[in-house]
Amino acid sequence: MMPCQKQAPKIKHLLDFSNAFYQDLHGYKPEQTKLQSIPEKHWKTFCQRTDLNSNSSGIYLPRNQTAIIQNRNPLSLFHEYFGHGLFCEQSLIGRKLVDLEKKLLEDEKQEFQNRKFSLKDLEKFREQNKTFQELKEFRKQNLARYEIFAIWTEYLLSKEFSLRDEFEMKYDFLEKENREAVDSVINFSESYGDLATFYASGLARRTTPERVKKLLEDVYGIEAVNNSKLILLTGSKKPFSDIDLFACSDYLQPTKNSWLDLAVFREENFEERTRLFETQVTHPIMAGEFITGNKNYLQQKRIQLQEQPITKEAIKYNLNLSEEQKQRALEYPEQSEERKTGLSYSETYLKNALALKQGLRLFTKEDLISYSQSERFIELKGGKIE
Amino acid sequence: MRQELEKSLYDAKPIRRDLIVYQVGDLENLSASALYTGNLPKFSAGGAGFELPKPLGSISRFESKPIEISVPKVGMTLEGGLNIKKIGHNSLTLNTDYGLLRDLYNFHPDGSGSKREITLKKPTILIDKKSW
Repeated sequence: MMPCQKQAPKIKHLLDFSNAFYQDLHGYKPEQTKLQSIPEKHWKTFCQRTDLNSNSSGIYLPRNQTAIIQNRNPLSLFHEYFGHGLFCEQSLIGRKLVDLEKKLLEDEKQEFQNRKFSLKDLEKFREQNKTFQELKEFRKQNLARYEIFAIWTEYLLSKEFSLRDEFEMKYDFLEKENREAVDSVINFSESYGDLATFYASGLARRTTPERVKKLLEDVYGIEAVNNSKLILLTGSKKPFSDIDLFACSDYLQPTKNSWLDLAVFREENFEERTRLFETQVTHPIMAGEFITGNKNYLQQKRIQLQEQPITKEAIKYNLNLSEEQKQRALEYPEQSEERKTGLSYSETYLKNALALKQGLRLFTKEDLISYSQSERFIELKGGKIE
Repeated sequence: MRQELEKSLYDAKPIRRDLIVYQVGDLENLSASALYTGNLPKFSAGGAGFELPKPLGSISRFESKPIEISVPKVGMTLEGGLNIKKIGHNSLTLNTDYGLLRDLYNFHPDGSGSKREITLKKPTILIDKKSW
């Protein structure tokens, strides 16, 4: 019998189904993670030979991004391959762990390339190696994230394959603190959905209108989302930036955390701010990506912004906002983020007011930045700055 | 050749950890931070930095201000559950309500003060008085 088994059909089914599930939910699935299955009777020897803990039913090796599972254990497949494997591919913390491991591997190869060595030699080398020290500290700081995420992945996929009883039995031994930690994440996922749990765990956010709508429905409820007049996706849309959203809604609450930033304007307030050309509103109207709501209403607002007269009231309103933001910013200590942000908003409102005074309709932040650059150019040309 | 190597790897009889000799190719499997399913260390979700979506109090993101200190008013509940019962010309009386039992605190600008415990079952009976 071959010592390294080929993947049994069952594992293939689990892999195919789970890969499709992840691709659909996230827009990605494990790509770089390798999977190795070791027969039960060889497990102990394998663990001893590779200095791994033989009490475990699965192991993930960050340095070669390999998930090694005992036999064809489905829960271990979920934990090691889809849990640790995906985390190390699609989260910044996981990627750093892999980078540090790979760097250490290179140092070790350099050291031991021409000689045989024992584990004692390796340990001795690692103790004086800076990368190893950094890795040790980094791992310690983030161990909770790795493990909670992998256990929650087991919980998630065990439901898909009706293996929830096996999951409960496996983690029956958990100590109180660990049980509470796992439960809190499970409760989070039950309250806010799977996508929110992945994003809160730090996984890459590949936003599409459909995915964002699903996320909002899970977090705020289908009714609140469907009753909202307009929800737009703004911001950089980078996988590790927060998801910037804008809503004209009487049913949603504003939210801001490390992965979601939802600005909400009540319908009446939104109308008023549109009439006054406020950048906070004009930018999403003109540059935002439609998520849900009334598409015709969005189109109407775009036309309104292009055609409505620029009034003295609008210019004054933006000037006042600029002054107000400046005063608020100055209430915060120098060098603080709040002060910087407040002053930046103050400047944006001022630029908008000046542009409106010149009869210019600059709706997006990018337009306002290029406008201010051209203003500076005119100033320089005119010799005002000597 | 690969099969032979794998066979020797998996079929090897248990030997003492310190007697195993490795070659450079083995380093691939000697990860310094292998993650195990079993043998979990103690951890907490708090340590993992899990965040719940928290609604903000104000509509605009840009309108948050530093915490303001309000002027004390009768009926206001302070941090720790103390309630302002009376504001005198030169003193402040605070009240902790335990249901049938209350603590009354009096503070004076000169630093002195007193604490009285009052039970509502026996109105106005002073059980204890401490001055400082």
